[in-house]
Amino acid sequence: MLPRRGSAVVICAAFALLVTATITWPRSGAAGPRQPLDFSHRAHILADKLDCEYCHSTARRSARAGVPALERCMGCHRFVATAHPDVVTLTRYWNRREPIAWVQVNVLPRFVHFTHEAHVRAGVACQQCHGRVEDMDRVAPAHELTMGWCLDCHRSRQAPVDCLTCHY
Amino acid sequence: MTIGRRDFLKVIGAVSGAAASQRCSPAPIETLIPYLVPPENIVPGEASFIATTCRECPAGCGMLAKTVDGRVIKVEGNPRHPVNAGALCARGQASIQSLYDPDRLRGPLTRGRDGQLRAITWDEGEARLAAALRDARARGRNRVAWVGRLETGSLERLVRDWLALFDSDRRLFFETFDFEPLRRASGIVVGRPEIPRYRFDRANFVLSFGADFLETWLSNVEFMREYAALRRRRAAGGEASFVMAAPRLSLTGLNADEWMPVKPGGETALALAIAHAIVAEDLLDARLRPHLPWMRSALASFAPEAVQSLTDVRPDDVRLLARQFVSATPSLAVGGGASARDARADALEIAVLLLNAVAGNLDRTVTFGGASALDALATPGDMRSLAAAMARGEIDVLLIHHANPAYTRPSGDLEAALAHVPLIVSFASSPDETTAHAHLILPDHHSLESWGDYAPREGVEGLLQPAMTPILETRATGDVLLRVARGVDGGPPPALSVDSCASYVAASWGQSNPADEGWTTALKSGGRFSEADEIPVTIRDFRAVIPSVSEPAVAAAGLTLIAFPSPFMYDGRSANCSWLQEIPDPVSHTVWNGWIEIHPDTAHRLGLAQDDLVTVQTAHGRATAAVRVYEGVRPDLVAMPIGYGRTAGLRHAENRGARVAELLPPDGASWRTDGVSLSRVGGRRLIVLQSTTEPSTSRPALAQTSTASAPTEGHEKEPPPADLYPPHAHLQHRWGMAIDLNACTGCSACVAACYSENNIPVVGERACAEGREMSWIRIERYDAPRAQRGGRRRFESVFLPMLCQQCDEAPCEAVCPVYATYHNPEGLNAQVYVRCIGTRFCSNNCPYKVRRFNWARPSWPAPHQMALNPDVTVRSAGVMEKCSFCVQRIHAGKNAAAREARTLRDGDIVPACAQTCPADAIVFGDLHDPSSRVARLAQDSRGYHVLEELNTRPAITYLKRIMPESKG
Repeated sequence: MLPRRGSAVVICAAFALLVTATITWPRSGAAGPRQPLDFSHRAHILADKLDCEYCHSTARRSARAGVPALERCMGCHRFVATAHPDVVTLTRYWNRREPIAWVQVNVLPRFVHFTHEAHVRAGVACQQCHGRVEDMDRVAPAHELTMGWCLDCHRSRQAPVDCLTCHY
Repeated sequence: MTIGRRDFLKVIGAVSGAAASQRCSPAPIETLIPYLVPPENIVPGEASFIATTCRECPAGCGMLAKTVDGRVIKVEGNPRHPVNAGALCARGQASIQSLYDPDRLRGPLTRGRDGQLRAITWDEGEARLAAALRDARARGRNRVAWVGRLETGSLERLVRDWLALFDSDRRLFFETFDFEPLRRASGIVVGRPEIPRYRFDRANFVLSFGADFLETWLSNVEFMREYAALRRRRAAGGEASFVMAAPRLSLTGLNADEWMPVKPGGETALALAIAHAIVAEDLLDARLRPHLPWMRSALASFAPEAVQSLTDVRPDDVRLLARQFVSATPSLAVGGGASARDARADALEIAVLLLNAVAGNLDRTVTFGGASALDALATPGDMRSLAAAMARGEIDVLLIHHANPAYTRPSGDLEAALAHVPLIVSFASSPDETTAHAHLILPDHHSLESWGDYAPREGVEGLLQPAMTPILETRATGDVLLRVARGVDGGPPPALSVDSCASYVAASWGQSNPADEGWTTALKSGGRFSEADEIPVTIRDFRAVIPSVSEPAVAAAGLTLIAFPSPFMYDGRSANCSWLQEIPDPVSHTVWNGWIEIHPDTAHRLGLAQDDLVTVQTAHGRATAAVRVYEGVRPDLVAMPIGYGRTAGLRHAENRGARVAELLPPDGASWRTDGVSLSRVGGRRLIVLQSTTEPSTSRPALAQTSTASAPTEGHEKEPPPADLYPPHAHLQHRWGMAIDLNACTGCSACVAACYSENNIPVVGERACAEGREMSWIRIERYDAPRAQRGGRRRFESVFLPMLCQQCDEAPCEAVCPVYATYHNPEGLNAQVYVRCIGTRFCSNNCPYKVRRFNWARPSWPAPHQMALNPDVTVRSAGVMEKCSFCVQRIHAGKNAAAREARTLRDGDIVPACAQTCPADAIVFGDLHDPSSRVARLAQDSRGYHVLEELNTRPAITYLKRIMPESKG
């Protein structure tokens, strides 16, 4: 029941799957929450050499690092690994004009006003709080994000430890 | 072994936490939903400001809508706009509450045979409108009528051309407060039928005959800024700057140096008596010499003695005022306002203009050129003729656009006439008393969701652009008009062949011409601003009209009723804004209710007490509301605020006071009527007063200084008392504030701005009655009525904005058992909500009573939660809160400076209250920086701290109000 060129697509897909599977196969560590799409940070960072800020583009200029717009994903995946099942799912989202509701991994309570901008400016590496995301397929929280943990770092870097820095 | 406070809490926490963990549910899953395609120039989490124009009243202030992630969370004045220069009034601040009004109309509606409204689609609604218009055009000329709010520019043209398509030119721009008498008087006196421009900034002395120019008269924010500057300038020299002649002391009147409680209806005679005194004492402006002979004879019958019975003002006082008025030239006389509006209001305006002329104010403080948009308003006569045409069955389709005549006009002709119109179409965005008559409702976007433009006066053209995508199934009225026009036989004329209202507006601003940068500039700056040239005027010989003003007022039996516009409700349109209901009225200090104002003597004579329900009976109708006893009204007066007694089913406005229009003459041109009687109904309706702001006369010395001593007296700095603790270091910054009581007019814009900025919950009437209001800043008033001399009275009021004083030695800090409130390294008295366990010890120990406790879980009726500021934590029940000096703005200011790799500059950080203050009374900054404005003001000789003797060492310095010495 496949279309005429169906068999070619299947072969291509199988090959693509083989290539990507070697990269995306879960390696180690506790997995984070299940996402609507099995997006692998490891594949994108290690294999594709993408910088964090390529996708989380507002980390340097806003309180929020920003989750990339679907358009950013499609910028590459219109051409790259189009047969990968997750990319197919991604393309379906795009064609439906439906944004993907990612499950938040690192959650801070509402009474904490954290800003990425100030931390990036101070030269704090992303991994400091987020862990080695480049090794994670499904991202899991690396730290519990407790106040004591924040303060340890603030103290060691002579960053402000006044309550009003974060709680207002 | 010692157990520290933290260790103790940890142990306690561990024990109780184990017990409590049984009840805890897992944290809800948070999702992050990114854009499909990110909009240009929008950074998630960063605020962007969109320049638009406030349409809450016809003053047309420029506005910047602060949007975060695509929703408006705050509005601020546009600093580039010449009308308001960055400030907004309380109503402007509350305009986002009309955007997020939970009672807003969600989509098109039609009224069925059973009288019930039911939802229809936009296509159905537009088809019905188009069909009715086609039939109306077929039946003849002018069978379609438009009654709408004042529009200029694009929408004005669009409506005109569109009506022409249906062979009609019946278009009335209806505003409750029209200024027709001003226009007519100018036509008679100087031959230019225009509303003049009043230049408070150029005047040295203001004399107002009932014009509430700090509240609702013409352009309150602009006038407040100019008047505050005038008062500062004059007070520095110890001179009086403002006398109010009116039967009731409004908020504007409370700001006057002196109050002349003139008899209702006697304002005209008083103005002419002052003119008489100027002419008689030969103080006349030199330019008017040629007019002296006719003026002298025309004014002959207005000698101060002759009119004393009409005005109730002593002749000596009239002469004194005349000298004061002329010696301070250029001075400025203004008259009108709703309470001076009756059938003979033209005469008052003629008299006021004459007074300005004889004092030499024409072309100086009263100027022409730069015509006001208000000149285009419908007159009460226009409305009457429209009602008559409707009653005769001459109107087939009546279109109502953001106007509510069924509520604001007196009952009578209009309401009856509406029954004769086959199709009434309303474009209102919220239900009101007029939509109750409508057959078809096609709700318009809110002005913050709309394209448009508005020019409050010639040269000042403000642009409206949507600050967010519409949240409901509404449609821009301009779009509806264009779509209907597209369907007419033969197609629309070229002027209306545009695909949308947005393109129509853009085209009229020159968007299509790439060489013209006007459009892009206007999008950024909020419009095109220039000042029209002033046109010199010469006074005409108008003796012919003077005799007509000399008719004495009818000596009425009983009391006189005046209706006055509430500074918050305006004409009732703002009644569903919960902030404006909860912020105490600056004059009466009531919340959530309307009232009937009478003098204590009158109350005593009639055996009435506060909160008694009474019925007011006039020749035109009756209304029932509760009594508020107020010394600022004459004993022969009953005063009622306009804007209460709404009946449109709006959740915050329902059941509050009475509709005063029911008591007024049906001509729609009078806000005053004689022969009023009061009768007790039995029963009471508590008028809730916000206890912490109720006027106090007990501490008159708190905030005043007399003129003579002010500049030199200084503020007696006692040596600071010995302290057990070392002083705070405040290494980098010490945030502080200076509040100039000479400038503060008590308008309460700061209070509304604070509600908006800091997610302050509204608690409602009942909780207010229990003293549980949540405002972080309040306006306290101290009244000090001094000895009366004849008709003149010094009714000295000082308005004092009270907020957390951010004390160095804060009494609240010492008593907190959990360290939830503490002194921060920059001098802020911090409040950490997550630490607070709600003992309320801090509030108990605060001498300023500025801490607020959340007795209930705050709620925001949908969609109002969209207005919440994401930079400020929403507090929950059981938590104490208070002013934080807008610490989120301090962070934002520091962040912006760090981004540019520079140090903070004075003025980088502006709290919401200071930002919106039209009088520029509030100044914030770093006390450590000796060059900052606040550091200099803190050293001012008028500076003092409230309750200084308690050694709390506040960070807020108040600058004393200077009371000019009494003259004469």
